[in-house]
Amino acid sequence: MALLPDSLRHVISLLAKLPGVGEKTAQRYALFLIAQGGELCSALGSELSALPSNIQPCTVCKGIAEVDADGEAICDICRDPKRDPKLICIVARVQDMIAVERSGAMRGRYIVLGKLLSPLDGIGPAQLPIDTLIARITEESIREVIVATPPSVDGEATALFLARELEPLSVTVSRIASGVPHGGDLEFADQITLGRALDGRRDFGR
Amino acid sequence: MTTKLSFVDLQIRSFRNINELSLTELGRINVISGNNGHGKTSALEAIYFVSTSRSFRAEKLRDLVAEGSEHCHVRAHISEGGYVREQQAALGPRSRKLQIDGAKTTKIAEFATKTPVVVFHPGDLLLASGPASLRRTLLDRVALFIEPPSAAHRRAYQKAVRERQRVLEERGVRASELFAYEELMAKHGSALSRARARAAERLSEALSRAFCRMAAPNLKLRVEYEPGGTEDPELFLKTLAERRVSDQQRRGAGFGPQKDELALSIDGRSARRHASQGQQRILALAIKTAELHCVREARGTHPVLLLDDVSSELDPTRIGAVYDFLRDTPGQVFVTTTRPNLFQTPGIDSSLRRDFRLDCGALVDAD
Repeated sequence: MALLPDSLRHVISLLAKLPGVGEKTAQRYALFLIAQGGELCSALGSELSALPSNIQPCTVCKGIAEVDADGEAICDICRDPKRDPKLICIVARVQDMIAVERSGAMRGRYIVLGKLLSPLDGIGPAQLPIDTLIARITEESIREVIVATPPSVDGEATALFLARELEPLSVTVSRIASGVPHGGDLEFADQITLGRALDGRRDFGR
Repeated sequence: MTTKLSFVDLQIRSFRNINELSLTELGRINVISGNNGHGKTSALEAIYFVSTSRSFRAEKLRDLVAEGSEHCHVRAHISEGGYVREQQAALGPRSRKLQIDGAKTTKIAEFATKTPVVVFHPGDLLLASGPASLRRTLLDRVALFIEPPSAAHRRAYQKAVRERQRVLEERGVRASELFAYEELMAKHGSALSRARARAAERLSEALSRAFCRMAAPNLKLRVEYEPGGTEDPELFLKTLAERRVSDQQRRGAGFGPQKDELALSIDGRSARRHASQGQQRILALAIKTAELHCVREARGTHPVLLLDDVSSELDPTRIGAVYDFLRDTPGQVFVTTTRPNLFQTPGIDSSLRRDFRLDCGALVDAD
């Protein structure tokens, strides 16, 4: 005899596909939903099934956009007229875009790559949206591109590669700095971060 | 100034053949005895794991988890300079969790330099005669303490090497993204070479001194770092570009710190090829003494020494050298042996010695 009914086990195995959710947590979620009664289940169910048609990648930046009445998916950032139209920030994932956006220091718009170069996983230049990027830079006469990929091997390789691909265009390509967190004492910074901060030091510009 | 560092107690769970083991009231010299296969080395490995997050003998960290278990877990209280901290290391099916005083840390280099340990196990007897990779690992262990970021450079370098090789083999020598991986190899590889050169320099002095003391004083040991790459990032990058075709054909990068060697020669002859077996073993012991010295100098504290049944591999005079070594080491020591009665520690106050006897991975009364 199985301890749990098949339909419940199926729900558990689906929940366990979510990142950070293991078998035990999935079981906890499923039992919680049952205990909550039908309302939460049907609300969650209908929202989830509508999700793919309501939310789609932004057609301009590949961020997240709500599909409007005309069936178009353009995100709020790309629609925002107050943004600097000549400045673009390249990030790897939507999460990174949200992080940069929260900083409040980025006044331009974005391009979400969706992936980073990673030969060991079979991801090469053909999988990166280089053509879209170049088209956008030329059509919108972009002035500066900030490459905000992570400081990992794949992130750095992608940044170097993009910088070289964009070299022929008349656009400034910059890389985000890496260093000491704000408000922290130097003694608490780890050695690698502090080393990077020293390598990337700059003069006062006088 | 050198501070005192010692393990106060240790709890081990589901670790190799140890189901549950608790060692308390640890002393300055801790002798762990038991028959072969009853968990002596596993106990040392657990100490190494909770100090460094790594193993000195497992190829895959997964091997540390006891058969039939999902996780292994080691917890220790460590006293340093009068303060006691708790360190924990755990390994699950997908993750490794490290904690210091209850706070998780992901900074491996920082964790691994917190509680310095130096291990000497039978495999180390090959340090002088075995493959160069053993001596590169030695350099990296020393480099970690004198320049902690070197570990991150090494990891990034190794990844960039693999990625470049894959690009070479699958997309050819003209692939547009090759340069990006070569730039990263040059950046991290030159930094790694620099760190290893510094480590070799420190090690060389201490090693020559230790060898002179342990072997015949008229024998002259020469220690030389022979870099497989270069400390100059521009030259590194240029060389990589030139070697694309040959690296593609031989299916591996022929230039870089993965080709480093720490060459040892006695009276002008390569120790690896010409030294007697006895000389190679005494050299291995001298290397460990030098490692201990370098880690102590860099970290400002006496490392904990883990000695894994080395005496069974050595003849009586060399065992004597090991005991001298123990006596001269002011730090805490853990020793495993099958014959605790034969393990004499002359010159060491017997109240400083604690005996633990293991049977089937569990503690039994030491007699």
